[in-house]
Amino acid sequence: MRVTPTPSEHTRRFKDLAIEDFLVDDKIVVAGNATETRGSLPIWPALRNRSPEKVVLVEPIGDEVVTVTTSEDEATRLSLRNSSQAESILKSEQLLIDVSGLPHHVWAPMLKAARRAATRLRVLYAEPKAYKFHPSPSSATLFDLSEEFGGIGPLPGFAHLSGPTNEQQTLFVPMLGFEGSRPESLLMHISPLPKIIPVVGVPGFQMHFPTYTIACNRELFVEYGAQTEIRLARASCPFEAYRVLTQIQRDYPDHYMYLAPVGTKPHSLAAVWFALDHPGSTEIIFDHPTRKTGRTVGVGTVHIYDFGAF
Amino acid sequence: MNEDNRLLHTKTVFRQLFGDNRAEWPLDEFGELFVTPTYQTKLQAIRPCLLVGGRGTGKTTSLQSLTYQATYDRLRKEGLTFSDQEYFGILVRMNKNRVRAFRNCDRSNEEWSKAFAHYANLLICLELAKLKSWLEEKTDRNVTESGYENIRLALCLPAGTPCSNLVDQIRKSIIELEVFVNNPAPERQPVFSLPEAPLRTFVTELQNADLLNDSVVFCCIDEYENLLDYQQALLNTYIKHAEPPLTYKIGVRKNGLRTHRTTDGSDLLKTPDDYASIEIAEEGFEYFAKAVCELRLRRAADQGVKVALKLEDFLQDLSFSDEASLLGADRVADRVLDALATEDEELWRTFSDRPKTETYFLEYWHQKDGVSIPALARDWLDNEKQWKNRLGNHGFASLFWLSRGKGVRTKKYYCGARTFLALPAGNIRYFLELLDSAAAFELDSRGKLGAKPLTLSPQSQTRAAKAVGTRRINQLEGLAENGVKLKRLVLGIGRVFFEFARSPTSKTPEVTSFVLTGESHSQQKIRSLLSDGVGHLAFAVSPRTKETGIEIKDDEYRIHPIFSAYFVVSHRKKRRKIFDAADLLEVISNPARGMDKLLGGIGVSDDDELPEQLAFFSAFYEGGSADLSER
Repeated sequence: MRVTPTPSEHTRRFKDLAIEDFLVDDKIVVAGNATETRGSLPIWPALRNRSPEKVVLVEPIGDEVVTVTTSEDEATRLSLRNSSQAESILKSEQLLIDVSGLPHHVWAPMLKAARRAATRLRVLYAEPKAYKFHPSPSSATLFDLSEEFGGIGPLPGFAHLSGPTNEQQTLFVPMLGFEGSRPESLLMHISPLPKIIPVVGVPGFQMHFPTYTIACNRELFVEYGAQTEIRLARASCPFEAYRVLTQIQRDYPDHYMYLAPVGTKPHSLAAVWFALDHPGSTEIIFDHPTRKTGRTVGVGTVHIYDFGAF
Repeated sequence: MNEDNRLLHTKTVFRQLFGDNRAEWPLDEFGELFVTPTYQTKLQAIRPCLLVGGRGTGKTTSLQSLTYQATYDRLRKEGLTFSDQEYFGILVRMNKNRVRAFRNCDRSNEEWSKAFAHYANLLICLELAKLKSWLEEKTDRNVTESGYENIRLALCLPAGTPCSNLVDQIRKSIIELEVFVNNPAPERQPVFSLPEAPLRTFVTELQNADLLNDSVVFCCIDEYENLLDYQQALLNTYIKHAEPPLTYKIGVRKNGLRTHRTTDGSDLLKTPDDYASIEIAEEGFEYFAKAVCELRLRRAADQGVKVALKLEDFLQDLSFSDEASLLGADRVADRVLDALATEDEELWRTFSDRPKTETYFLEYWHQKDGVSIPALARDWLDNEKQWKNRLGNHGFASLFWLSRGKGVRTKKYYCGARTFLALPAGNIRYFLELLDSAAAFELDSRGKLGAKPLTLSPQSQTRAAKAVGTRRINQLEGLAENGVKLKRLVLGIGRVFFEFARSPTSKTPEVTSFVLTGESHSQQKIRSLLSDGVGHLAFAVSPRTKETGIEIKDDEYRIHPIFSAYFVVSHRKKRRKIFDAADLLEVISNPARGMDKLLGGIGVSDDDELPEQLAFFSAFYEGGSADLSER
């Protein structure tokens, strides 16, 4: 085991994960059909062979349905809006969810259920080694990450039917990533135009990534003057991002916040956690991308976030 | 005011009047700047209307103008009173992030339809409840206890809800529904109100309480395209059954009404039987846009800005010969005269006496036909009428060819009222953005304003046309779910038309549109994308103009004219090409190969001949091999 310097007291970072890095009574939720290498760490099959009861495989089979396999022969169909069923599946003392290979529409409702079902909840996220460049880029978005978009719609279990009471007091807080068209596309659905406060991952996973993020989202800054309100949070730290969101809420009391988790997954975790903590004043808006197969290669640093201690 | 301050003041006034055209108008300026669109009388008729238009065509503004507060403010400014109000409009937006919660989760659309009907009822009744309070305040009359009880029962609100808490209680019911939608277990299901019934009851009770003053209620529903098909079918039923004192005004994007079904499957929503359809693009845009601009110019003058008050005066135009001169006709004509001088002195003398803005055309035709310049010159003298027609038909197209060459900054001018009214293709937001941008370029380029009323030069207008096109291209990706594909398609097709425009060998001049051919699966895919692109103003569509015996009447597409200056192509709808749908699909996935097929042998310009805005996308146009960003 090699542990890299830890940025937050709630986070552990690993170069290589070993079985002894897990807690004895951990129940671990992982993607059953990840299309990226980092979505299915080599340690999971090893752990599953040794203790099949510890590993829960989750495979999306539709917009809002997954199959959950708790051992070789037991596959259960789970509707992601059925919170009581999700809670009974996830019930445990120690729960670890590997979100690396799970799409937002799967891990977000599971996180929601896990907050109630697990005594101690941790989340694992593995960075990729590299992102794939686009062979014929048609914008500042240099990377080839998404196939297409399902369009704006609530994450399962996160629907808001009311919206803000005062439409003049709204914020749009996109967690920025490499796909600059996404926050703009989401913004088109909010009327009247809210105040825009983008959150950028600084420091980034890699030293030059924040530069990419700014370049890829140039249009948002130019068109809406959003550069005046940029907030920074370490790209790999959901806790720092959560604190930034809290600060924004303090800076703009009585404002309704549209949160767009279109940046790093740790930032998305923060956005979802924040939305769960503030259901009356926040709304997640998301565009449901279909990710390109092979959009990343390899496995980089692995982070384990301890939400139990947060 | 000194000269510097005057310039600064002018900039500020123009920015306030023409800028900030994305956001909806603040209510206090609504009455001041609102220009009644030509279709407003149709929209105010006491019958359901569908207001159809692309993004930025003014649908929301028009619907907003029908709301009871906006109407009241307008009437007051005209010296009229509350009793003159002929209708009371309420406005509800169909938010995509909310209406899409009513699907999936192992429930059929039929089951969701009941929940959604309750949601639509609650949303609309929330606005009716606000209208009720406003009417009660204005008239000093109130809905009766029994009337209120009827409303409460129709909406399935809990017993004991006081009338004064109606708004709060409706909000609570929406939250109760939200809990159910997020986890639709039967035990959480609230009691659903019946489709439309609460709306009808509510309005009837307003009427019974003498609050409506014999007027009608306009229920304006905006962003109808956001509704799922079954939801449209449900609200189509509301529209179909509408009768006074309640009627519906629907704002919908072009191609956004995806179904005409109602909840009674066999009964379709039809026009003109059930509703009037108002296509904004067909409703005198030029007249309306001119009025909008001139009202703002007058407002600028009221605020001390010395400015031309007529649109035609405000936007300087260029004649054909002036533009040809600016684009380099003299330089080309000199080359022609050199060629004539060595061959035939008589011809040289004759053409030396002609305007250079005609003589250059010999070179253009020489490059088109390959016939020698002296032979063409002789032919011109023998067939003056034919060459006059030729210049008439091909002269405008030749302007795009004139500026060929490396390092030429302005390759075509886009200026004058006619052009500026054509570029937006019915989109008032684009029109205002063009004016705002052109005024900013003009004022930035001037050190002082001078004594004459302010007008905008062809250069400033051209820069603005390019800048607005660039902004809109950059925004395409974000406009729709398939915005990335749309942008790639626009970039590819735009570049193809750019090459056509600069190539005199192309058989037909001024090709700006295309129709589809090819196998049906590809056609279906590309049509669906184009249809979405029309709604999001990436493309414009019109029925095919020149029908031949063997061709089936079909849609004729072109890239939206707002991109004309960006791609340096004609903004006029002239001639068309036939494109294979499979080639268009290839433009999206492999731009270089797809464009090559569309160009059919015409070579592409070198990078250093491209306008800078197109050169920026050279990586897209040339494709490239996949690579990885290694750590």
